[in-house]
Amino acid sequence: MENQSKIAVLYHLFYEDTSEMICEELDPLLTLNATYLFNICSDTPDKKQISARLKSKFPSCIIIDTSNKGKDIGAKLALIYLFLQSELQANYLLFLHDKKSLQALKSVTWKKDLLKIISPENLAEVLNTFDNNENCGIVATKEYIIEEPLEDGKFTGINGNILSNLLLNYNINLRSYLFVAGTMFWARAKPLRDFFTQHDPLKIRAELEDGNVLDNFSGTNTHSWERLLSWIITSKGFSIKGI
Amino acid sequence: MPVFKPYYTIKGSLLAGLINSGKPVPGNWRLNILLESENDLNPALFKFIGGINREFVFSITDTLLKRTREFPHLLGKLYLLTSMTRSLTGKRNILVFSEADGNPSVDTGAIKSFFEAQGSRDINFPLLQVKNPNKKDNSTWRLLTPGFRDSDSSTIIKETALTGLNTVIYFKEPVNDLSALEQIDRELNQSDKQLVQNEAGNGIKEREEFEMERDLWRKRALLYQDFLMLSKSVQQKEYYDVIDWYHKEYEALPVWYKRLGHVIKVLMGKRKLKSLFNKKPVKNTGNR
Repeated sequence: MENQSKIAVLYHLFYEDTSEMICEELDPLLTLNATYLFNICSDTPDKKQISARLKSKFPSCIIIDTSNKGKDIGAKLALIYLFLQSELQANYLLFLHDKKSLQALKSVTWKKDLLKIISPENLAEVLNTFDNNENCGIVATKEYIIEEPLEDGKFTGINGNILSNLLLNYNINLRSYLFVAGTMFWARAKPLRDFFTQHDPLKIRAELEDGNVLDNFSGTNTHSWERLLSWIITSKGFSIKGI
Repeated sequence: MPVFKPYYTIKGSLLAGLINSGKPVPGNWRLNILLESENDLNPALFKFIGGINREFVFSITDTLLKRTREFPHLLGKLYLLTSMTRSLTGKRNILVFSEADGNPSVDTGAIKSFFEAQGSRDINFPLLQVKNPNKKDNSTWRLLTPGFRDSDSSTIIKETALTGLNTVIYFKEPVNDLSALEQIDRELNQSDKQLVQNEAGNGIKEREEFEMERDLWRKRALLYQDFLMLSKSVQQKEYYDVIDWYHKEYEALPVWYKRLGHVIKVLMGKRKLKSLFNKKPVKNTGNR
């Protein structure tokens, strides 16, 4: 990587029992001298202990706590706002959260797969991918790069109508319908910084649903923004690389 | 034994000067950062706050508070600041400093609406009146305005011991030399006999923290209950999706086609020939 100090990790914690595991998960990144920004959900008990553990492992980290709005997507928008307001310098952002998806059958596999992007054996590949390919905007776990269904130029998925409106309102011209499901990925910082400097992340966050919203039964702003976080980058001509 | 620790008020502009000059903020005393203009809410402040481990709160002047209606971008910054300054167990507070006489009008509507849109409804605005520090509102916050040059630590100790839980010290004269402040705090810490926080005050804080944690655990228990219900609905949906698929894609096929399929299975070795002539239905034992 060009400059090892130019990575910012944006991590959202929702569960009360994951901080120890998170500290272990992030071990491989310690050599990269990254900046760590954590968001702890306001609803999470034991925030004092969680916060102390994170500070002890990452002494220069910045911790915020925000309400449970838009799940991890709302948290990541708040962290992007913190990143911008603090004028932190980073070429690459790493989005992570303590995903459990307790309602889902395959939740354990999901988390394990999504974390491939920070496993010691894959980390070098991730960093080389960005270095060697200027067009690469996102690096994510291959199996989670999926395509939003489309028929005759119209979205057919459950979030279709919301997505169409958002793309129109934010003037996003899609070049690809691929996005990273699960919102754990590495991203080039510039396209995100450009977009969110123009569009206040907290205003977007205000439009997201409260609580633990799911899109199993109807479309949601939250899950639509899950797609947009990828599309903001790919609409600027960058590609998604799977590992 | 817990000791009493007041919050010392430092103006945002003074803090910005220190941060920009690269000098550390001396001491480890509790800090109240007083924001007087929108320029005080700058990147250096956010980085400074993010990096410190000391306890702190922040306050804004009633003049700046009025400007939140004119300058909505201030609201996001205030929201960020409160999300950084919360004690992680206590309530969110934005202290409001007023130099007005009498009863100042404090319009917190714009902030409240913004915070509500962000999902935060537990924000409080304790009012601290510089010209009338003894006036009490319903909060647990109190203001002390001792003289800086002529006051000694014993005066502060005496006064703070009377006020109880959350005491903010705002010196009458502008504070430009933080090392002098550090000296006062050192003397305060040495006078431990008088620094012992009154038990009632300490009890209030502990109870508040306990109640808040208890509420969070209650909510958490309900959440896990919701997850159980939800996982049932989700899995039920997945089950019926599979059944629907079976009926649409397989069951609708003609019988001769399905029978041919079974013959193909035998040819491929996936089924025994004998099973085609067995009239008893094959039970699925779940062992694969």
